Amino acid sequence: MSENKIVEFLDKESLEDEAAHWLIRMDGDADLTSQELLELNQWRARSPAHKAKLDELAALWNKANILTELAVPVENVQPPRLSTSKRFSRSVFGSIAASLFVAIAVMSIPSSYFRSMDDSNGVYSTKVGQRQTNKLSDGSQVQLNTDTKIRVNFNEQFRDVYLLKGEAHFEIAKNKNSPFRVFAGNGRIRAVGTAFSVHLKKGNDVDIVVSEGRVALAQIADDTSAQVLGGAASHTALSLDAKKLGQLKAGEAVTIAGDELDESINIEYVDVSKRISWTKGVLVFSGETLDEVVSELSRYTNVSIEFAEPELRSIRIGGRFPTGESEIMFAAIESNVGLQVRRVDNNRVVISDSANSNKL
Amino acid sequence: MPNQQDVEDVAQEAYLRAYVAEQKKEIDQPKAFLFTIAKNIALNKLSQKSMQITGYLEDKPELEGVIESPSAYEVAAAHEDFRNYCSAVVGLKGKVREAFLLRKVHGSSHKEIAEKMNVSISSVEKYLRQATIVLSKTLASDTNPALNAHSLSGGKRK
Repeated sequence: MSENKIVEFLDKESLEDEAAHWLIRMDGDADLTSQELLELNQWRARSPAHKAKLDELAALWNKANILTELAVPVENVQPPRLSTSKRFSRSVFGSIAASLFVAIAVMSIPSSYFRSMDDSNGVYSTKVGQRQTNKLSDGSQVQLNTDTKIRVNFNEQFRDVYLLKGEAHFEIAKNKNSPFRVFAGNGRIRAVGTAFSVHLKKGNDVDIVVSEGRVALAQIADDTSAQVLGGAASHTALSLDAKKLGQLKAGEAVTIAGDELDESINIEYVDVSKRISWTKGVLVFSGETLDEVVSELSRYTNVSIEFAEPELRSIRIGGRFPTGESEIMFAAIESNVGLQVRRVDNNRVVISDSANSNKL
Repeated sequence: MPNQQDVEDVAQEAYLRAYVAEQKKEIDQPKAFLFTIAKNIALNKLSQKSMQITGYLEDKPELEGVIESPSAYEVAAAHEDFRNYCSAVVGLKGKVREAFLLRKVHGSSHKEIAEKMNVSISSVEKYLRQATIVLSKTLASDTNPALNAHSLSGGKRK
């Protein structure tokens, strides 16, 4: 055995080259001739190291088939769709009970950098199933998920963004002179970080996932935030009323309940890449129930998804689902789960057990 | 636990997707579901070839390590492998990368790759050999459990 190791060590480069030669020959368009097959077997018989190296490369090569996944491109980034803040009515403010606050303060950037910052101000929105990346004038990037609306309000003191509905992922350009703040839902966050996702859910629950850096959380009273959203309250008043909740760092997530002001928060440790996979146009599930999966997928389509058999809801599934066009999503349910998705009419599909036996 | 590495991996995956999309752009811009069909066709071709390779190397062909119309569970489990491969592919340069991606993303045959890249088949095979060697070094140095878990001979190796 030790002898083999020496042989392998001495001839490591040529052994690898020869193994690669055989591998790519086998991978070739033409089948091996019987003569070649004979030579291959002679080569493999030369030592266990020979055989092992070729097996290793072949395993690596075969497993690389997984890269076919790359053939399905992520949907193209759309140019910013900026509408004026006139559409932003008082009633929209009223529908937001409280606010969440994110302040980023890290490194300074020359103030000239922000001279034209106001250019970004206004309302940005996506329809159901849409996804949109917006580059803001300070260099920060905001990606809007399906059915999302934000208002950007940059001024000399602060870079404020209000998440009015839906979900957004922020990658913040650092500037300690002008904190970046995100308002949404019920609570307040103060952050010292650069990338995070905020999701304003039904019932005003707010999910925050931090993918990079740090975020400190705090909450403010309902009335204060309502005023802030209306633009009436001063920012100093806001910070005085804030209750600190704790810090989040990269890889951590938290949900702030919409109906109560908590004294503390429950930090979860999450798979960030999975939680923000929507930014790349896919949803990744690993063992969630079909009910949970469908409820998540439903955010991306106006078509309502129903179950023919209630027991299907509790099936646990995994897989990558593309977001965007409903038809593709439904096709993914069929191929990933082995169930039938039947279109009842334009607004309704029904998931049912396939006619043939259920694979799960 | 996600860490900086994960963030980089995401960036690399996004980069590779953009790169692959760029390669395909000149051909056409089909609807999204056509991409999925194209992916499945490529995967079927590659799976057949992989089974053939496994067959050459074993008296009794074992199908481990061959992705054959993967189930949802397998796709989820393969997610991390996918990331590792994306990271490794970013380490390939120029024509080596182009040839490798044409082979493993689009399932193009050696001849098709030669035509697309306007080089000889033997050049294509040289690029693919180089890709194999570079990837094997990159993926092995990551102490990548993915490769060990899918040895060809079901654990006999090592």
